[in-house]
Amino acid sequence: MTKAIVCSVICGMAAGYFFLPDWFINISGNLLVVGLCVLLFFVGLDIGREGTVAENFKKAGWRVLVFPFAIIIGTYAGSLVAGLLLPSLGIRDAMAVGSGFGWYTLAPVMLAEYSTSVSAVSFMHNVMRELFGILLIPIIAKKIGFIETVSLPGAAAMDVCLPVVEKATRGDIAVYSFISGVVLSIAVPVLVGLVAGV
Amino acid sequence: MGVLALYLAITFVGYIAGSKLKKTQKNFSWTGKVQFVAIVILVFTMGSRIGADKSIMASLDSIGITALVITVFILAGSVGAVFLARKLLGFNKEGVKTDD
Repeated sequence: MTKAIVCSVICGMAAGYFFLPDWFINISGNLLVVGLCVLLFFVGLDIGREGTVAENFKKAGWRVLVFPFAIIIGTYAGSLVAGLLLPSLGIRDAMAVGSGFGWYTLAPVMLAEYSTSVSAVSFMHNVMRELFGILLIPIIAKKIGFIETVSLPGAAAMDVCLPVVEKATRGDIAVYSFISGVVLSIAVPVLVGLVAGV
Repeated sequence: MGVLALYLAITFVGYIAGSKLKKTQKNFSWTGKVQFVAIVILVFTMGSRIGADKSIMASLDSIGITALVITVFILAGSVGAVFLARKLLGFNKEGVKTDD
């Protein structure tokens, strides 16, 4: 899946660089909005059909919600420091990039019209967040703590990285992972939209 | 702002449709394929906009370094914030509540 997506982006970049006509680039903004609507409808459909969100909440109690909010605060704190250190990026753009929480098929697409270069940084950052997340989960579980592993992949904690978290920790930490991933997934379109003014 | 409201409304409509359809137990394997095709079209289009922008193509290396720096700070910030939250709530290293 990740390979197919990275290949699609590279093919798109090559096509845009070498031969795609200007009119395609001009209408691409509308195409992205339509595509995002299709994608988000099916994301909602999946969550609705799963029907386990409420059950998972009951199992873990209200405290489980503290962690996704801590991840949001920690992510913005990291973005702020990176924004100050990278003057070419600036704080608002760094926050816009951070708002992706690893969802590399949604956040950079939403940012495409805000700024193409921020969209490019966003894509690379979000792919890195998921990949480094997978690599670091076992290390963080051993050295720092089980719940901290959930913070690494961000939104992917509910799907791609769920089995990785479960294997490196315990079965019931997977509930934290799932809930955290759900909250962050809902937060991504809202926060990217608010920071970038979509 | 209008587009954001549209995105959220459509996700919510999907959620409601999904909750209703859950009871029918039909096979929905085609939805995964539709999502995959939508994702491929979206990221290809996003890539084409990056590719068509010559100044971005000329600075891909610095964009990569920027993404790496921001990723390192964000991962450190996220782990640090969850560590503090875990301590405040009284969970031990293995995520077990210890003080009640």
